[in-house]
Amino acid sequence: MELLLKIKNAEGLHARPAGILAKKAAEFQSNIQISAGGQIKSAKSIMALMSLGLKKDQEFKLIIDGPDADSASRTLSDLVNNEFKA
Amino acid sequence: MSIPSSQHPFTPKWMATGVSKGIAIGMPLVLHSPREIESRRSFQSVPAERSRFESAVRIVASDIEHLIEKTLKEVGSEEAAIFEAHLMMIQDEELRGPILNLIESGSMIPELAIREVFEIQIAVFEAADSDYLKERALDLKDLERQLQAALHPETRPNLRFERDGILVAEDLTPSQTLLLDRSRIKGIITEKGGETSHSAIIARTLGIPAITGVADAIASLKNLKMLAIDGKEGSIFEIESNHERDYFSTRMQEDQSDSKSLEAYKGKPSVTHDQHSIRLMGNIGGISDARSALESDAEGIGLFRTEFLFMGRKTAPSLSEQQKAYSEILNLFPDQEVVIRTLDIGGDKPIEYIRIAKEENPFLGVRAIRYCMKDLPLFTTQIKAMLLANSNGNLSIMLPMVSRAHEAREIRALIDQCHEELRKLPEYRAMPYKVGAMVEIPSLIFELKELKDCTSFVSVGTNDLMQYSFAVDRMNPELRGLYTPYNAGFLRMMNLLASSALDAGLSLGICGELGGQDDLLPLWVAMGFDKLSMTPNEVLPKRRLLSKLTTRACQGVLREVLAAGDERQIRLILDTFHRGLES
Repeated sequence: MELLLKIKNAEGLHARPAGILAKKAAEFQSNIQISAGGQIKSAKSIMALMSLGLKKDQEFKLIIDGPDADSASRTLSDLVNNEFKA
Repeated sequence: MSIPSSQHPFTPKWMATGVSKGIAIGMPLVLHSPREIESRRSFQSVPAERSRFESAVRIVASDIEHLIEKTLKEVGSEEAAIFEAHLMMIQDEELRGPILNLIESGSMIPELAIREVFEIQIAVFEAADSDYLKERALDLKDLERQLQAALHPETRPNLRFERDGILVAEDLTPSQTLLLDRSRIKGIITEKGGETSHSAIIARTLGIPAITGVADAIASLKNLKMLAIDGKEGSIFEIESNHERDYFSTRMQEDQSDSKSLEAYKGKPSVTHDQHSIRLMGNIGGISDARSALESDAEGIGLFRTEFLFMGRKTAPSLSEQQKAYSEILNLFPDQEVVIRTLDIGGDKPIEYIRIAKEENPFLGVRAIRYCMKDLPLFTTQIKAMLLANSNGNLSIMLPMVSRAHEAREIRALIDQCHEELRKLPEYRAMPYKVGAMVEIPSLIFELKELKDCTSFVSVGTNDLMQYSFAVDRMNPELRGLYTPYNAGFLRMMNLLASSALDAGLSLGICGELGGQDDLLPLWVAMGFDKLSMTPNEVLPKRRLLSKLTTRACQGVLREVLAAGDERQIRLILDTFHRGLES
C-alpha cells in the first residue's frame, strides 16, 4: 500500500522528527519504505530518513507491505500530520 | 612588546591566556585526545571482531544514555533530544548493516569498517542541500570518534580521576564537559580554546582557574609531578621545591578563603559605606553566562551580546529561535533589567550570511546598527524577537555604534513600529520596554540632550570609546602603551560625559571592561554612574570594594586625578588610595 504525505512541521525532517518516525515505523512487522526525490529508503532508519533532507511542504510516499500494513499506515500518517507530536 | 611578567616570586614555565581566575596547585590530570585510527591491527576472526564492534557500540550507547539523563536533569528535554537522536544513529541498521557486512564478508577490522561506512554517510550529509544536514555531518564525525575510541577501551579518555589535580587537555568537547568528574578538578589547562570555549565557560561556572592556548600542553606537562596555575595572569609553574609548594598552597587557600568571604556579600545591597547605591550587573554572551550572573548575585544584565547567536552558522537564527534565547535570559531575571544589545557585527567578524563588502577600515565602516539599518528584515526580526520575549516588562534594547542622536531617533521609531505591528498578534503581551544607546563614539557625548528625546539610558562601551578617542587599534600590540584609561584627557572626557548625561536626565552606566576594574571604581562613583556591568565573577568583589568607599573620598580622588598631569601620577594616586583601603 502507498501513502502520499506532506511534511507539515516547520523544521522539516530533522533528527528529532526523523527519530520519532523511525522508532514508530520499527514497531511494525511490515516492510516500510519511504520514497522521495527519486530515492527509496527504509523508513525504519533515522539515518535514511534524515539523509532525504525533507523540508516543510515537501511530499513523500510511504510504501507499506506486510501483515500489519493497515494499522501502520493509520499510525504513521497520523504522526506525520500531527507534526510528529507522538 | 613587553615580556609578560608574573606577580609571583617565581619564573613561570609558560604564560598563556588566563580565562578564569584563581590559583590552583596539583598534579596534572591528563585527558588524552582520542588517538589516530589503528588501521594496521590484524584481523583475528569474524566472531572476535564482530564482538569488538558490538561492545564498542554498547559503550558509546551507554555514554550517550548517561548524557541524556544528565541533560534532562540539568538542561532540558529539548537539548536532550539531540542526544536521543545520536543514540538512534549509532544503533541504526543503515550504519550497522554495512559495517557488519564489511567485517563478516570482507574480513575488515572494525576500525576500518566504521571508517568506511561513516565516511560515506558523512559525505551524503555534507553534500545535502540543507545547512541543517551539513551541521549534522559534524555529529556523525563526533560519533565516529567515540566509536573508534571505544574499540580501544584501554586508551579511552578517562573522565574519572582518583585524585585531585589540574586537568590538562587538548580541548574539551561538550560531551566531555558534561561527563567530567568535576569534584576532582581544581584547575584546567587546554591547548586550544579561548574566552568562549567550553573549558573557559565551565571553569568560570565551577569557579576554578583555567588557562587556554597552551601549545603542546599535554606533551610538556604530563610528566611533571606537580604544577601551579594562576588563571588571572595565565601563568603555569612547575613545582619542584617545598618552598614553591608552600607558597602556592598558601596562595590557593587565601584565594579560596577570599571567595568564601565574598559569599557574605550575596544578597546584600550594592552600596558605599555612606549608603550611595550603584547597580552591579552582568555582561553575558548567552544562557550559561546568564546563569553564572545569577549565581554571582548580579542585579540584572547590563549587556547581553547577541553576536554568539548569529555566529558559526550558515543562516540567521529565526524569529522563534531568537525569541526563545532572549526569553530564557529575560525570565532568569524577571524583576530586574536585562539589557540586550542589537547585533554588533562588522567586516572584521565575518558571518557567512551577512554581506559586508571588503572595507579598508572595518572599525570605521558598515558595522552594528549601520549594517542592521541596511538589512531591515534581519534587524526587525531581532527587534520583534526581543519584544515578543518581553513578557515580564524587564527588557531594555541597547543600540551599539550610535554616532549621532538622529540614528537613535530613527531606530527608536522602527522599534515602536515593530511594537505596533506585534500588537495585532493575540499572543503579544505588549509590556513596556526601554531603549538606550551605547556611548562608544566621542561625537555622541555632545548630543546627549537630543538623545534624551528618544532614549532613556546610555551605557559607555569603554573599550571602543578608548579606541575611537585615541585613534588606537586596541588589538595592535605595538600601540599598547597608548591604549590606557590612565590619561587625564580620557578621564576628563568620561567626567564630561557623565555630567552631561545626568544633566539630560539619562540613566548612566558602563558596560565596557573599565566598569569592572577595581582601581577605577572610586572615579565612577564620584562621576555619578548608577549602573556598572561586568563579567559576572567581578560582581561580588566590586560589591565588597564599594562597601569600603565613601562618596566624599571618591570625590576627593576624582578631583586629584582630573588635576594630575601624567599617567604615572594618575596611577600613583589610584594606587595610594587603594592601599589606604586595604590597611
